[in-house]
Amino acid sequence: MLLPLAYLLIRATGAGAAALDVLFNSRTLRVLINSVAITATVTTLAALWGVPLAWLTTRTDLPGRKIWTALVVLPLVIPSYVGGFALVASLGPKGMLQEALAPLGVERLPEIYGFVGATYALLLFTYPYLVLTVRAGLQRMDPSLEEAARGLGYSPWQTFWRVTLPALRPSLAAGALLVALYTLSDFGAVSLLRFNSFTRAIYIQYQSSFDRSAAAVLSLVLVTMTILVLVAERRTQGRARYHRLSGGVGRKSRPVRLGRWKWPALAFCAFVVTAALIAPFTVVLIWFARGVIAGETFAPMWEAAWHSIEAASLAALAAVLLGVPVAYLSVRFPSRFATVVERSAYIGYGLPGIVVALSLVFFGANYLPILYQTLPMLVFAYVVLFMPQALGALRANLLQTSPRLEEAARSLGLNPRRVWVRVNLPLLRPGLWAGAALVFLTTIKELPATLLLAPTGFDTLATQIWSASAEAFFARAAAPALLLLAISALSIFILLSQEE
Amino acid sequence: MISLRLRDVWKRFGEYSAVSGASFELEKGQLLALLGPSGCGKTTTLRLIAGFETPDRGEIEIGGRLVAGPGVNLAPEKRRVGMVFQEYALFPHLTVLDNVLFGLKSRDGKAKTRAETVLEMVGLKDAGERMPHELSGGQQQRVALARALAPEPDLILLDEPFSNLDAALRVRVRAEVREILKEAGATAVFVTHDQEEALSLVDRVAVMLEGRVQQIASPHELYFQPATRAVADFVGDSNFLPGRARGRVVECELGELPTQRPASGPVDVLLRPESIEARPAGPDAGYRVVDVTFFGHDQLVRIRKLDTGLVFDARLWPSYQFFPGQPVEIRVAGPVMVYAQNEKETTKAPLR
Repeated sequence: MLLPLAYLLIRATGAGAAALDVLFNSRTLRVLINSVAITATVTTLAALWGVPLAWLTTRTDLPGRKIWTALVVLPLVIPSYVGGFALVASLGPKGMLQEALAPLGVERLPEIYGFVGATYALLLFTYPYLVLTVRAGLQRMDPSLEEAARGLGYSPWQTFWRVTLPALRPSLAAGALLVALYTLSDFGAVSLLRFNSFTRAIYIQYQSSFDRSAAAVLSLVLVTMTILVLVAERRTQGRARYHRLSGGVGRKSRPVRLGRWKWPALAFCAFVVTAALIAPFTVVLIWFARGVIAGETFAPMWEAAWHSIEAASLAALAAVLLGVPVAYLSVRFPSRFATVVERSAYIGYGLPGIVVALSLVFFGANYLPILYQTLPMLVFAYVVLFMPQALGALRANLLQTSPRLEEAARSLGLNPRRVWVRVNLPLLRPGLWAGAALVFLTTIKELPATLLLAPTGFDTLATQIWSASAEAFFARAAAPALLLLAISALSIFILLSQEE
Repeated sequence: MISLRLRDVWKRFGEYSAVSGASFELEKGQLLALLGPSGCGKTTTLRLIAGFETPDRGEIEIGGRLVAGPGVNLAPEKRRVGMVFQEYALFPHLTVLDNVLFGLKSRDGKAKTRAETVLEMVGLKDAGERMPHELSGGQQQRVALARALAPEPDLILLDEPFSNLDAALRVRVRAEVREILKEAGATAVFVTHDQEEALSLVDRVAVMLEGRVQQIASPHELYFQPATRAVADFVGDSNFLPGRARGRVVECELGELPTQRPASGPVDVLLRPESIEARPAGPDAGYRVVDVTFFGHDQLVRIRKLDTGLVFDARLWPSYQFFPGQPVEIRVAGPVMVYAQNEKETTKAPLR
């Protein structure tokens, strides 16, 4: 896990003076400012959307709360490059809006490329993280805290600011962290909307120049930023502890009655769902229909779909196989060694996909030429990036199974190997499935690592959508996009049904 | 025949000494309670017997076979020991019947008959097809017991088996478990911190304090003849007062009392609150009631000796109604236990 990263460091420092040049030239500064600006803006806007949505769907008598909850969270399944494609195809200079306005003599629309477009695209598909974390925070919060505040003479409004919001700080921070990390590491939306943040700059450097150490240096700066975001989140945790005060089953708080505010609330929800879900989906559908009418062939798509499923299944399998011993070690035999092993598995998860991919490109090209640009290398990259998802599911599962069960089986005459077959594996089954499904779902949507590491000619749905929409062949991107959305939605459905 | 024998068993975890030289024996067919406060090493002792921990020193024999000792450490699955865990540890993915079948080697009709017999013994004949989570706590407890009994182990170990049951259920389940174990002719070791549980459940009680077995005796003997002051302190309520022993009698503030064992010199006298009798008396009586706690089936009365200020508790029948300040006269029933004082206390003890 650490080896490729170490190599990235060597590579960047090895460049010496040239590296410093890259580090301090004005273009790098520009990229840095761009990245900071878009991360801060997207995170802030996502909070402004996410917190009200979370509150409305948990604490009020908003009509149809259950359906709204599902609908506002659903955009999570839309990969950012599909969103970017929908945005460019509808509002781009030669998109659907321009076509509609063409009879009125509109030749070109103002540019949506750049900061505004990229921010908007990222916002649409990241705010659900905040909805989810803040919802969880609101549900966990002991209603007696708010009641105590009311009893001490605070109005509902004061209670919200003085009690509810501070108690939500950890959930807000956790959600904001997810959004910020997503924005920093996103490649699909920024590349399609041509906004020069780090990931796009790294890709361009990698593509265009012989000397790839510039890309390595930029990657290291991006890694540093990622670490800074993580540290900042830790800092906000502060000293307070936010556990439920007493044990036992928590009471449900009484829902707030919205009264006349019901209508603006409904309008807000409807607007978000239209912008983030209905509009992109409609655009993809329309272009799909156009493609069918124009006689696009589906053969390349089926091949890409097969590649996607093949690579994602292998990644899911590998992640689970590697995850079981790591999770078991860390849960059953906690030690410094186990912690180090587990933490290092998380490093790849915190890193932008393009950085991991780039480091593997360097590493593979120099030390493992047999594996370079082969399927195993790609699968390895996926495992580095996404194994913690399997690990998390397995850990949670293991924590719920008492070690006493293993001991009971031992004292009933089973040797350790048979204890695994007859007790541990059957009990781990939900975790194995959940972990594999999570890895599969994330892998199938992954773009930058696939672009950089896939064997030549190994098109996946993700790369097909990206390259078609980057060249404005919108009709060609629509069919794989639709298929990808269907697969993602299906896996989410399977995951949720496992939770029941 | 001896079913279980521990000889000078030691176990430490890092700096912390969990078991320091535990030794005891248990006859076949007997029930033993390992009684002690939390952290006294009793659960570790149980896990050493089961084979989930390895002793640093000492020997453990089960059914005449050395299972742990110098150069020997039999795996848990080879010890023929049935374990009932505090949280029952029923396999959640298996039915009740499959749980009971789990430890039976063969999968034939004989195993099934055995499993059904054991389930019937614990009164759950018809629950075989149910899943563990569909049962009540008391029923899960009995399934765990059935699962441990099914392979006919040499020894059954029960780790705080009743602590997850609510108080009302506990007394009933306790009696049931005792009956089942006796009917099966099983040899069993219970670990418990609840002295009432230990005294009412088993044939023999081993009191464990600070990693050592202090005394192993029948419940009756343990209560009335605790081997050390620490054991007396831990089991039951006690008043201690200083005294001076001369052979079979001891002289103390409550007068001259017969002792259970001959002793001499400065001693601590153990007075169980039950062995003190008190009666209302006239105003010139030498004792006064300080405080009364009424329980219904009995009452705890705190009494002060007027001339010396000595205060002690008496557990009395509920028939008299006492009130603070009331003059009473007292009598001590039966011979008492005395414990030699250590030197430091001797110099401080008031002599008369």
